[in-house]
Parts: sequence; structure tokens; C-alpha cells
Amino acid sequence: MNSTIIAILVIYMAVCIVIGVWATKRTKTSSDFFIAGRNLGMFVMSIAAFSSVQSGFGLVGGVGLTFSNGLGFVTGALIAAPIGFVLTWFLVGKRMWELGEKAEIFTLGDVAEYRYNSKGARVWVSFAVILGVIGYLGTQVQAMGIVMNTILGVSPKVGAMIGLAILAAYAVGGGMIAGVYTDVVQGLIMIIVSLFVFIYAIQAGGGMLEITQTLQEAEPLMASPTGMFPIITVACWFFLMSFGMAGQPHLITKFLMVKNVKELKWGAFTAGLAYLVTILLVVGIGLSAAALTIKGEFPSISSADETLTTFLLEYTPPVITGLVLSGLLAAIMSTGDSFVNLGAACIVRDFPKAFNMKVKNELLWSRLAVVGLLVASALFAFYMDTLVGLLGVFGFGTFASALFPVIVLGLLWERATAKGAIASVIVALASNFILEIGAKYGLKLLPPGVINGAFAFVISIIVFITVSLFTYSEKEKVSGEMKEIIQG
Amino acid sequence: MSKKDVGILLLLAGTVLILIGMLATSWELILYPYFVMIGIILAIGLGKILLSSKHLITIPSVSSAIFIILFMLLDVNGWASATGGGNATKYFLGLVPTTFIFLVCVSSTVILLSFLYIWVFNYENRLKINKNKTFYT
Repeated sequence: MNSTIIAILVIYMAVCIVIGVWATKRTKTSSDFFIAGRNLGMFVMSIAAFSSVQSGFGLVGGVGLTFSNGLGFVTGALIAAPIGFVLTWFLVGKRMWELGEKAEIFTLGDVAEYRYNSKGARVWVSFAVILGVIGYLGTQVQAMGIVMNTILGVSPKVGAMIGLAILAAYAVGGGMIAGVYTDVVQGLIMIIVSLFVFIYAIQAGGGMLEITQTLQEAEPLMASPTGMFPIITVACWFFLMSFGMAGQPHLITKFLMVKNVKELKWGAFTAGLAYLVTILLVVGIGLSAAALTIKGEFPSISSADETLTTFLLEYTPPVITGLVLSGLLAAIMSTGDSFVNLGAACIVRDFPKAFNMKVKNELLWSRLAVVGLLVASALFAFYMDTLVGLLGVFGFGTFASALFPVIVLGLLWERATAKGAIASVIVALASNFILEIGAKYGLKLLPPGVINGAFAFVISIIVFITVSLFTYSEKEKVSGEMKEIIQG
Repeated sequence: MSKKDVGILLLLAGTVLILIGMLATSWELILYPYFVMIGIILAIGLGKILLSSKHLITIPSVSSAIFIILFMLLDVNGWASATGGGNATKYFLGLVPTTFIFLVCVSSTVILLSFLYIWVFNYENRLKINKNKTFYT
């Protein structure tokens, strides 16, 4: 690999470590560790929010899917995501912030117990979060190994170890302070490179019109907004990604970290616009590479996931390639650090509290939990491929279906009950698991094209509202403070 | 039954329609109820400010209407046809009309909705300030 590319990558990693050291000095309490001392401004919070949601899959997978199947993933999933940001700000932004003002709330488990006055709700919410965390972390470690392998030429295992060591260097000591500030650096890298790469990609393809006409001649669907994807799939993605965004724990916990409610005002705009800009990278490279392939001008690749790196190495200068690969690693690491922090919070705070146990020196134990989670995720990724595969099904759709009803609808509706909350989490986890595992082993339970996560999401909302309606009683009445938050 | 309860029941009805849409593989039954649900849930989300300033109902109504209009426009331009509108010979910014509507217009709703959020935010603050002024005078 070109020395410029490696130099840029080394600088990026060094910046992450420097931020980690600085953040470690600032991290003195568990509030600092879990919610960045509740001291974030608008820009830091919103860029960190966007950057933790934009994962390696969105970029590498998105480019690959656009290259092989056209725009359906972009129009269904990626464009819906920033719409989801705005809905999240509208629905729970202020409410989550106010919760943090009224009580010591660091996690979604804390939110669930405070809202429903139920330890059961805390346990089930935390269980859903931890399943997702382990699944996400395992896949992020594997993705990190693949990217490092491409850049440095080391084996995926060694590459993942290097990436994990960098992640540990800032996440263990600096907790969420390190997490959000590295997220900002990582987010800014993603935004800048996306703009540049889009221009390079469109130029390489001969301009947007030529790209479209080349695609039309080969297969008109490739120039359409759905691409080769069934329209029902695009519709399911659109619904799941926009509505379900408000159920993503790495996004909604960011509202607990904001220092002042006024900081929320421009947040949706900033995070949404930042995400939109990164879509340019996916659209640009995906369509351009597809058109170049039709013209016989793109190198042959063995897997669609290689589209991004192949395009960069062939069509962009080393500085841009280095920045994009850093951006890619940034996307993986920023998602990883958010999840490792959420996981540590579940282990050190949520589960003990659910069983009335008090953890002394929460900060120390949180740091140890981060180390434990990083080691465990590496072991899972290296030696338990099947387990990572199984837990990998607990992704975006699981969080949407398990957490949206409990947290979002719970913060909007006084009559939501703990029984409704618990029932919807159980149904969400079970339906996601059954549908995804069934599909993996050839048992497709839903009509072709319907997204499992979207189906589970719908079922969990129905269960939540129905069970709440049937189980509401005077006992379930929310406290005065909670009522004020719900009423907005 | 409060207005909010009615709103939640409407959400439930919309979700059931989406479920039917998924089972019947009808994109219309998924997306159109969903866009109405966006308006309903935004109205619920506005909370008590909507009760005191009834004209704010335009915010959720406009949000739903924009999506419905854009997707009807997509439908008219053939996004549900066998070619997804990809065989059109008219181009906007080098894109066929259906792709242009999605990549440019639907994605721009992010900006538009963000500005609506900022507007509501400012409006709420102005109301609070005026309330405080009235209280102290």
C-alpha cells in the first residue's frame, strides 16, 4: 500500500489516541464516563450522533449494494436514516434531555425504570441492548480486520487486534468523552471525504447524465430509484430506518449528554445534513463503478464489497484514498466505541440495579467492563463465527422493534404500561431471532422482499399498544414529574 | 378518552395496515399509512403546545402531506412499474425523474423537517418568555 495512505492512517490513529489521553484526564466520574459529564454542545453532540449511526456497513455495504443492485438501498435505507434523525429530535429530544435533568439517568435501562417504575422493564431493555451490543461489536471487529488487511496487508486477525488496541486506548480511559470527541473527528473525516469522492466518482464515470444513460442501456432498473430491489423491500427499509431511528440506543442516549436544552435546536439539521453528505459517497462510487463496469473500464472484483477500495485505488489520488480508508475505519470505530460504552453501562449499572445491587467505584468497573467487552468481542469474532453470525442478527431492526415502543411511545403516552413494555421487548427479540435465523437456514416465513426487522417492528408496536390498553390501571399512573415530561 | 389516546389508537390502526401491507406485499399499504402516522406521531410529540396553539397542527399535517405528494409523484412517474421509471428520456441533473424525485426531493425533506423543528423550538421559547413576562407584570 502507498506510503501516503499509510501515513494518513497513522496520523488518524494517533489523533484518536491523543483524544483518548486528553479524555482520560477529564473522566473523573461515572457520569463523565457514560454521558460525557452532560456537557456537550450542539455541534459535538449532533456530529457524534450522526457518526455513531453511520457504520462501516452503511458505507462499504452501501457502495457494494449500489454497484451490484442499483439505488434501492440508498433510497430505502440511507435516505430514510436522516429523516429518522429529525423525527427523533421531534419526538424524544427534549424529553430525554429533561429526564436527565430530573434524575440520575445515564442509560436506557435507567429511562425504562424511571418511566415505568419497574425493574422488569429495566432488565428487558438492558437485555435487548446487550444482545445488540455483542452482535454489533463482533461484526465491527470483523469489519475492522478486513479494512486493516486491505490497508496494511496484515492478516484480518492482526488487523482487528491493531484496531481494537486503538479503540481500547481511547475508550477504556476516556469513556464517552473520548467516544464523542473521536466521533467528531471521525464524522468530519467522513463528511469531507464524501464530498471529494463524489466529485471524483462522477468525473470518472463521465458525468451524471452519461452514467445514467450507460446504466439505462444495460438495464433501466439500474437507473431507477429502486434498482434491482423489489419495491416492497425499499418500502420496508424506508419505514424501518426512518421510524426506527428513534429506537437506536447509540443515538437517543446522546440527548442525555447535552448541557443545555437550547443546544438541541440546530442538532437535527446538523446531524441530518451530515448524514446526507455521506450518502454522496455511496451514490457516487456505486453508480460510477457500475457504469464503468458496463463499459469494461472497471477492474474485475471478486465481491461487491471490494467496489469501494478498488475504486479508490484506481481512480483517486493517494491522499483521498488514505482519507477515505481512515473515514471507513472511523465509521467502524465510532460505531464500536458507542456500543462498547452502552454494553459497559448495561453490565455495571443496569443489571446490578435491577437486582438492587450497588456497584462501588462504578468508574473503575466500567473501565474494566469495556476491556472485558473488547476482549470478548475479539474472541467471538475470531473463534466463534457462528455465535457472531447469530448475534449479528440483533442489529438495527432489533433495536427499533425492542426499544422504539418502550422508550419513544412510552415517553409520549401516559397510558403505556410496564407489562406492555416487557411484552413488546420479548416479542421484538423473539420475532427478530426466529425470522432472521429461519431465513439463514432457508426457512423464509415472510413474503419475498419483506424485511424481517420491519415486520418485527410492526408486531412489537401492535403488542405494546394493545397490551398497554388492556393492562392500564390506576397503579400504572405516572408520577407528576414524568407526566410533565410526557406532556412535552 | 383523551386526544392523545385517540392519536395512539390511530397509530395502532396505521400499524395494522402496514402489517397487512407487508403480508399482501403492497408498498402502498406500507408507505401511505406510514406517512399519515408520521403526522399523527408528530402531533402527539408536540404535546401540550399543540393544545394551546391549535394552528401548530399545520406542522404535522404539512409533514405528512409532503411525503404523500412526493410518493404520489413517484407513482405517477412510474417508480412502481417494471423499469421503476428507469427508461425515461427526460433528465433532471442527469437523473431520470423518479430517481431525481427520490435523491433530491425526498432527501431534501430532511432539511425542510429540520427547519420546521427549529421553528417549533423558537415558537415554544417565545411562548415561555411571554408567559414569564405576563407572570411578572
